[in-house]
Amino acid sequence: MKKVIAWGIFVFCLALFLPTAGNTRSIDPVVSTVWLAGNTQDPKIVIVDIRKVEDYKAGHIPKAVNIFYNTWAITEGKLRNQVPPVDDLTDIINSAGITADSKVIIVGNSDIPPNRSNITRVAWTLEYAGIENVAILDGGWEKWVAEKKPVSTDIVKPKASDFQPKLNKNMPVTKDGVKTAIGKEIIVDTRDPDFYEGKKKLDFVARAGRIKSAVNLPSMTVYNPNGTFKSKKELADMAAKAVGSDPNKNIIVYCDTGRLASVWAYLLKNVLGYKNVRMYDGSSEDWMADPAAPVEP
Amino acid sequence: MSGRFSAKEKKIFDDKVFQRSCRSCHASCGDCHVSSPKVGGVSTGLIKGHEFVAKNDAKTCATCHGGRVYPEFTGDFGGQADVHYQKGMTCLNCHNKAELHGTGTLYTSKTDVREKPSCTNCHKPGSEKTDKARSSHAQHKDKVSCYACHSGGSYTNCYDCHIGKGATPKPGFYLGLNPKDKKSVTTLRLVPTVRDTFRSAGITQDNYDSVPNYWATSTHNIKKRTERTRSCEVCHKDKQNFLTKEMLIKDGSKANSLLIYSPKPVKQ
Repeated sequence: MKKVIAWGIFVFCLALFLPTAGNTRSIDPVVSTVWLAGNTQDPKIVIVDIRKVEDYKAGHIPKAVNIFYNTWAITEGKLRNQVPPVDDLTDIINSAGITADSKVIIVGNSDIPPNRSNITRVAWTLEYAGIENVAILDGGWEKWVAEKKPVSTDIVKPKASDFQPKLNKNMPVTKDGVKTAIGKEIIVDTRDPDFYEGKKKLDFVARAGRIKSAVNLPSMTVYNPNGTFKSKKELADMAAKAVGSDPNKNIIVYCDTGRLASVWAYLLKNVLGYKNVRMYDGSSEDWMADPAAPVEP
Repeated sequence: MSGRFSAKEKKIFDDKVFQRSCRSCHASCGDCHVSSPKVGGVSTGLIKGHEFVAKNDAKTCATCHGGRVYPEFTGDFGGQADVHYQKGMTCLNCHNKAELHGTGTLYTSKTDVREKPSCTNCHKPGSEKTDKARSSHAQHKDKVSCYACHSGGSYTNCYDCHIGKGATPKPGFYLGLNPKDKKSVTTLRLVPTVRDTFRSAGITQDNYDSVPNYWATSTHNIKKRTERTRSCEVCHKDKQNFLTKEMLIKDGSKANSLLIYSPKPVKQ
């Protein structure tokens, strides 16, 4: 009986993150540690561990390749967390052995907020590059270890692939695009309320406040204390309060540097089925440096 | 730095400054392999209980080199991880035991150490995969260091150091002539020593102007492609990041101006 109940819970949890209708995915956007442990032998699975090299060497999920976060998101000019130039991005993807039909599972640390959003930022970047089947491991490395699942210290060096990115140019949006969207699209500030309300700002952001007309939907509210995602219903309720329930609405998410915003960019599109979600990855760092860019309050 | 001292000042430096400051990182065996060295009076304690730890780059190396080199290497400073780190390499993949432990030969400068790593140890000239890379390397051979073209961007430069007060780090990226040969172009890093750095110890640096404030640096933020590898014009037309008279620090060494270099235009 206990086995039946456990299996029921497992299936129920899987259903929470089933891909939304109309998507070409063949893998759930968020996968559990149980699922991954049972699918590591699938030849199409590529596990990408984005933790630091020394952490990877100390132990990782068997068969995982290591491509550290700062490889996927670079400082370009004065802007943090930018997509690398396409030739570099191509090299990075191919060095992981990722092909067009790979099922890529992103594994990172889920201990602190910046590490959690690193995971979604990498997933977003891969989707931007044209990889359709990208998923993130719910609860990350910490949950895998807490459950005493297998750990390896074998360094994995896959055979390089020859994938050529087909950039999904409708996924990011520029500052000019955001200016045009004010009053026409839903602009979502994914930072904590103090930043949205202009009470706090980061040192490298020129001005406090938010993009004119933005609503607040903080990214860090999507996690349980152990770094796993809240249920699909909870996420849907949070999203609906901020952006409504119409999946066809045009939505732009942003934060300070384009990292935190990737959490909601990923969830809104892949888990909740909003079809038109773009991310302003220049975010406040870019917007607030422009004196002509309208700001509230 | 010691080139700036008179013989009398060098003795004061060795007795009063080196022992108090530099010695905290110049370590003995156990300082790296059992406990981590004290840096600024702070120790992170034992690495793995009382065990002798052969390799743990993040602790045995980064404790001392975590201020400048290591964050540059991982991209935590500057935002672009070194390509070698991206590929899973850490300190000891390039810096070998002979270099770190010594071979019995005393060198007066780290740049003289014969066992130090060199890019061409692994990347043999002529083995490039593209014609562009092969011809670029041949054209710039012995004229430009690998770092000058392949450094990924800003690295830490330290300003205005005074005994007991420390220096102020700021990002920067400077290209100019190597102070060692005054011929080849390389990446330069500002050394924080200023005219009155050691004044409180009674050292006035009588020969301050004999040594520049900028030194050739092996940046640890190497990238396969950079702005300079993508376009000749970045250096040969726009002269981006090349030291100019206006960029030099105020009241710096008179030797600084000898490092200024202006690339000539080229036909592509």
